[in-house]
Amino acid sequence: MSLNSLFFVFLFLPAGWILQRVTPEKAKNAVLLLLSAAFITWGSPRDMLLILCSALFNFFTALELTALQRGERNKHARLVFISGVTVNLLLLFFYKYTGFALSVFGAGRSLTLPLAPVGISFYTFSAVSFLTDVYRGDTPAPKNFIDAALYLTFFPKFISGPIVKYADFEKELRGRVCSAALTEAGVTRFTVGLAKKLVLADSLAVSFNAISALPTAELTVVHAWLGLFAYAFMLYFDFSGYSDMAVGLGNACGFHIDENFDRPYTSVGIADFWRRWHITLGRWFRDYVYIPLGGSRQGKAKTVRNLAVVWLLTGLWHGAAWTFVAWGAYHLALLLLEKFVFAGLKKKLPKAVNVALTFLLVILGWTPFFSPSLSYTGRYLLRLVGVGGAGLVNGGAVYLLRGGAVWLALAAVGSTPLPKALGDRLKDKKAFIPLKVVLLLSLLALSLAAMISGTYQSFLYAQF
Amino acid sequence: MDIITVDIAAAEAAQKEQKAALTAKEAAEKKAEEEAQTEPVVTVDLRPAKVRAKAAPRAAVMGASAVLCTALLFGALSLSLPKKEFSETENRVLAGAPQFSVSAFLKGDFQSGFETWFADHFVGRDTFSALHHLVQSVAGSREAGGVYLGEEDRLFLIPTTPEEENVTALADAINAFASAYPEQKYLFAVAPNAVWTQRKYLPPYAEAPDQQAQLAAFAKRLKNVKTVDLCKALSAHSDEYIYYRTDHHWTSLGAKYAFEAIAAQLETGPLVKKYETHTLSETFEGTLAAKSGSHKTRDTIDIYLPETDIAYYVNYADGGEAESSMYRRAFLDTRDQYAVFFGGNHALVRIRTTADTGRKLLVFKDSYANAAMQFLYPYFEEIVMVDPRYYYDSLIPVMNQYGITDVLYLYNADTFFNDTSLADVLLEAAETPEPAPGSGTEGSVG
Repeated sequence: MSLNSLFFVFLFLPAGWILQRVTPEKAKNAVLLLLSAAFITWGSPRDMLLILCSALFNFFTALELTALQRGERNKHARLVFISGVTVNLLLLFFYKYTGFALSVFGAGRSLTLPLAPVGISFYTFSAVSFLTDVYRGDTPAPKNFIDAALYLTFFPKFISGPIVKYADFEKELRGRVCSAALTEAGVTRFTVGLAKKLVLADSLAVSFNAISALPTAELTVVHAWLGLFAYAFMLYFDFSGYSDMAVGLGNACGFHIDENFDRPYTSVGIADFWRRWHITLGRWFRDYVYIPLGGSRQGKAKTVRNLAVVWLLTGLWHGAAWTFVAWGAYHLALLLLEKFVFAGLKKKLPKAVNVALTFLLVILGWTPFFSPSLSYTGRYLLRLVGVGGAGLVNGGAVYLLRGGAVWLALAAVGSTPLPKALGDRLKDKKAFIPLKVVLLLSLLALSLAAMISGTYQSFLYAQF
Repeated sequence: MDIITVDIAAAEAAQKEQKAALTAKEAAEKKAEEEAQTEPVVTVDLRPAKVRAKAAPRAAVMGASAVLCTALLFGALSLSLPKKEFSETENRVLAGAPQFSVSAFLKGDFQSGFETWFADHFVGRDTFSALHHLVQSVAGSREAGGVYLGEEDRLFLIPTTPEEENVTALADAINAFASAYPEQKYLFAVAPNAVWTQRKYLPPYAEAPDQQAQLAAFAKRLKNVKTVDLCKALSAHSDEYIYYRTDHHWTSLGAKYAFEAIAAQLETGPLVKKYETHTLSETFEGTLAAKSGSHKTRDTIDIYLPETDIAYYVNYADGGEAESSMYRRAFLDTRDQYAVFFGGNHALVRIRTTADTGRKLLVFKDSYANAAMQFLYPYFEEIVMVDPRYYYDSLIPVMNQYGITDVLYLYNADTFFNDTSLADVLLEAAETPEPAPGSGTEGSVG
């Protein structure tokens, strides 16, 4: 089940919210866990069984760690910790990377692998955070299985994050205030996120899909750039919309879920971009990979090595293919250049130039990200500069441009601080509340229209 | 090392800054929460109006209440309102409620069935779909659901790009069939779609395949099969009402122009000079309207009755009694009024006539042919229509026992080039060695 399905928004959400609302304080975590289990089971009972086993394993591993350490680390605890993390990573590796690993060694093409459980990448990272935070003593081990399992499976964040740190989540498991203000903010946030995904991102997807369906020989320069911009904004509004939904749902249940995006397309550099794009993933890699490897404190060579490990893994985490490795390597190269070569130059440039350059470099980086193969990436990059394609522009490109221009313009404005500034300015006006209600209901109606339209079909060929 | 230490210092400073920002944010949030807590922490207030009026202003939760109540209301209504079985706008049977069983649940079939059912019967489904198309077209989109929204409210099905392999298979099969049965005469008559013939009404810059070139290239690959240039025949009348505006079929008028070109190639002799025309419907809203959600106009269905003494009756291989008319008016009361011709597509239809021409025609066809039969029947003793998409028998008895003299391929280009059934049906009949009449041993082909 996804957060943007009809079933979720119009049945699961209102029913679930009321249920947790009327539940007494003491039983709230249990009810939220039941809701999360129902959420996962509805999508796939097999996944639920797997997650249940894994959650039990992690819970008992955490108890074992606490029992072994009694306040100080020791060899035995270290062994338990490493094997616990390894089991989690192996599960991820088995479902997500077996096919890729086999193909690297030139085997296994005919092998049918089991379908990866939905959300396994995010789940595994949560599990690693859970074991690590307990092992490091950042937080006490969970009192009961309900708390541990709720952290691992909390339905708003289960499928696509944000990746909340266990140490942060644990505090709110013990006690939180589900205030009216937080509920209001949460539901508002959810509705806006829903519309970002269904209305804006999915409309941009129409342009991008039309372009990616064309053979690269038929792409003009305008096609290539239109496709690139459409993809860049589609990805941002898709993912940040989904994160908004997750954060909003968390708020509506009294939790503070970490932000995942902070207007990344207005970043002033690549490092800055990564502080604002998929923030919780970057933080996870910093806290659980980069810093444990020594971070930047052990000399230039080791810093470069540590960064390389992080970016290779970041690339692979996004998908088991060479294209994602290339994308990770590209960002690594940009970060190293920014840090060690162009730091001085960057300081001298005006902010607007830095923002524009960063945006350009980032969106160029999406090319391998959306490519089915590296050779496609190469051809696509050539089309951007007009090499080998169908010229500068043709009728087809103009047609697509006319269809996508309005959505692109909306997306561009939506990526800047303007919408928030406008909202803040209106906040004190008398008409703000009725205006907000009308706006939210309109966004809900538009999202509903998009969801319905997605299921619309007519049996044309049966009658042809 | 300098760089590194600077780097660390900067990172630490940044972290501190972030922390400071966070604590400031947290403080602000806490303050907001505390403020809110002076109000009762109730979001959906179910108390009687009088009590509520006394309570504090509920402005703080207006947005959340509005969204949650609306979602609850729409969800509950969609579950509880009576269900339609058939969608007129989508021209299809809507999903039925899924049957619960443990195995269906474990496989996920129950859940997906439930979600489909919920979506199919969602309250205001057609209205919301129309809203989506309205928003998209206001934003500049000129296509919806695989349909171009053309000029003058004309709708055009966007053709599927044919696979080269499939096209080759079709040409090979047609040639193999013609050489396996060399006694018969063959005519290839595939009509261009509106998207080519009436391309001047497409949205600006919309792309359409050059079906004339596709068909000409295909014709070159055929051996012992004559072709008729329907692109030429139809484009001479491209401003006339030769395709429906809301449906992917041609009109009877379009079929008539095609027929005239076909008849010339079939050498049917003098044609019927006059037709009696009748308008059967002025309310036809075709599949393209359903697919695109654009309901701006309606079509007219006319039929042409040749002024001739020749009578005919129609037999359907899939059962039913012989009928004395190819028009089945009951279908005018359904969404798909084009099915007034023969009641839609059938595996095999036989039209037997009182014409004394000594010729029998086998037609391989899609639904375009259905509207052309009203013109063709007076020139043949029998017409056998085979729709390979529904025909699972062998063609050998048809070719050997029906006395077929002419074979016609009558399709529209989009269906034809993407067809995956015709080649199989043809090859089965062409490759299976024919038993020699009267003996059980294998004889030579032909």
